[in-house]
Amino acid sequence: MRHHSTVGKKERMNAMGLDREDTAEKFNDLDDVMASPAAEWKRPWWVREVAKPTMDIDWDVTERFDARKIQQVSWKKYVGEEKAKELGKRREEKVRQWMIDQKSGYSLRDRALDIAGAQAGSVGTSFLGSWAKTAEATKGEGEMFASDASRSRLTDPARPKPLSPEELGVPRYEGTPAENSRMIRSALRHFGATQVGYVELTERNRKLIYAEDAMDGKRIEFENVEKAYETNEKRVIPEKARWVIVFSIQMSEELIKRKSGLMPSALSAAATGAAYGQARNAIDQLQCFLHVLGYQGLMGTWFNGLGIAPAFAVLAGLGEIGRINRMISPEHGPLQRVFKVVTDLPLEPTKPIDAGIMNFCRTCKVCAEECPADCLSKETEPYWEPKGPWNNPGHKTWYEDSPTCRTWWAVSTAGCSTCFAVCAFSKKNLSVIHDLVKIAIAKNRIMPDKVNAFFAKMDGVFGYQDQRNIDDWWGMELPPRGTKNVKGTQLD
Amino acid sequence: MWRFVYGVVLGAGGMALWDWLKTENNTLDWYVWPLMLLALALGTLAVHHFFASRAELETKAAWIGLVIFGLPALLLSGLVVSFFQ
Repeated sequence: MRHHSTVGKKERMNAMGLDREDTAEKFNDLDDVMASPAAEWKRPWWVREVAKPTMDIDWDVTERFDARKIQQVSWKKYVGEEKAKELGKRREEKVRQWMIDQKSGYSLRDRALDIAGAQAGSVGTSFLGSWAKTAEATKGEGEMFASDASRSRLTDPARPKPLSPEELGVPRYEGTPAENSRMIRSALRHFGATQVGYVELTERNRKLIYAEDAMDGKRIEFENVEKAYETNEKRVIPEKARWVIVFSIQMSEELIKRKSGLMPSALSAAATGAAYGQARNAIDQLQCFLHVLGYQGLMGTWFNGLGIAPAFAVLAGLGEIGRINRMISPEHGPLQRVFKVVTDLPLEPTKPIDAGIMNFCRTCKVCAEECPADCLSKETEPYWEPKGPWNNPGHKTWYEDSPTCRTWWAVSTAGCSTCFAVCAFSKKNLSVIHDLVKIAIAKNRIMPDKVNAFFAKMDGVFGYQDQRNIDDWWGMELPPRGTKNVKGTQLD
Repeated sequence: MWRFVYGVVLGAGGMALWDWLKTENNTLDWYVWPLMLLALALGTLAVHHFFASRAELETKAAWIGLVIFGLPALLLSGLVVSFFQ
């Protein structure tokens, strides 16, 4: 049954300007608004949708990956327990001493900004949503909505569980996949997402869902059940949850470029930390939104979620794989962090794209040359062979030496994002020259390698790869989250 | 605001050129027009890039862009003006 979320009263329609005769389009209800072409994802004209990603994939080689193998979890194993312990001790000493010395970029205030963004926030990530394990559904008299309950139970440490349509006694939301996709994009933008795309899970690409959880090693399995559930050994995704919502949170370009010579600073690391902190809220809000609509939204117990982020971002067309072995989008470059939620709400998949980015990375190599840990590949062509067990084989890319990267974090005391900061696609995009260069990268067929190498060279000449003064940041008046975040929206 | 000012200046310049061509009964060789348009495009790019880069807090990019796009624009403008003599 088609269940429209109608705006029934004429005066309300008037107030919203929805029934004006002179509007170009006639909207009868909110679903029509969502179905309007204006609600489409606006990509630059030179970004081409393609049937297959620009990165070659061999699905026969690809296998479900144990998320515990990634360097963020298994770094100690890769470098050795003793070395990791020693590096950790030295890191602690340095962190403490630099706070006392008030070292630029590593002072107490720089470190506080990084820690607050990354580690604080209202909730953590969880499989079923943070509220699923808190108080039972709140449906006292006059407490239909969680917000009512929140106001009346401020002293209750347990957060009230939002009601599902079943508990509210109303039909669940129903829409076409196209309408649902537009709805989720609007909701996620409201929750703070930058770009949103969708992947439909198939027998093949299901291999990109982790086999084991990164944190507790629980098996992640698919079963023919109605509701997702978890036991001490496994987390179960229902077969009918066949769609992955893939979205990104943009990072501050001004912040991420504030290194200290070769070293990443605590201040530059704060750009990444804040994106993860914001994602924690956005993911939980999305899971709650889906629950209230009558659907399931499933996430991992850690930021990496239930599947491999760059892979899903590429399949969803958020961007292409780059030399950093991460997703680079035409609009925001690599200055984003990618997150995924698996759902049973039917969605319309978005297609992979070709904006010439992967081809540009073949000749650019600036990230690899600037990498202070020398852990990025300088090979011109991507390759099939992984560097180690932290890489999942089955796609042709520039596999990176992750443990060396992570060791550099320990040595420098801060999370490094130098490769993100120096990338030619990391721009604020206010000057039209960036668009002209991107059009040439996407469309030029005359000596493309030479032209792309020229662009990479000029990027340095213009000073875009230069590091910024660290302490100046504290006196700047930047927009919220340090980003002018309208690219690709209707306000662009 | 600056786009508006630029539009007014461009419009005034265009009208002055049209007026000069009509009142003096002058004609320009065909190749002067593409040169003039190229000079205008490069000059516009130089000015836009300068202010946009300042807004991006990319001071070095602003000045280098002004030189790289602005100098050819000035040279071409000089060449075009010489055809007006």
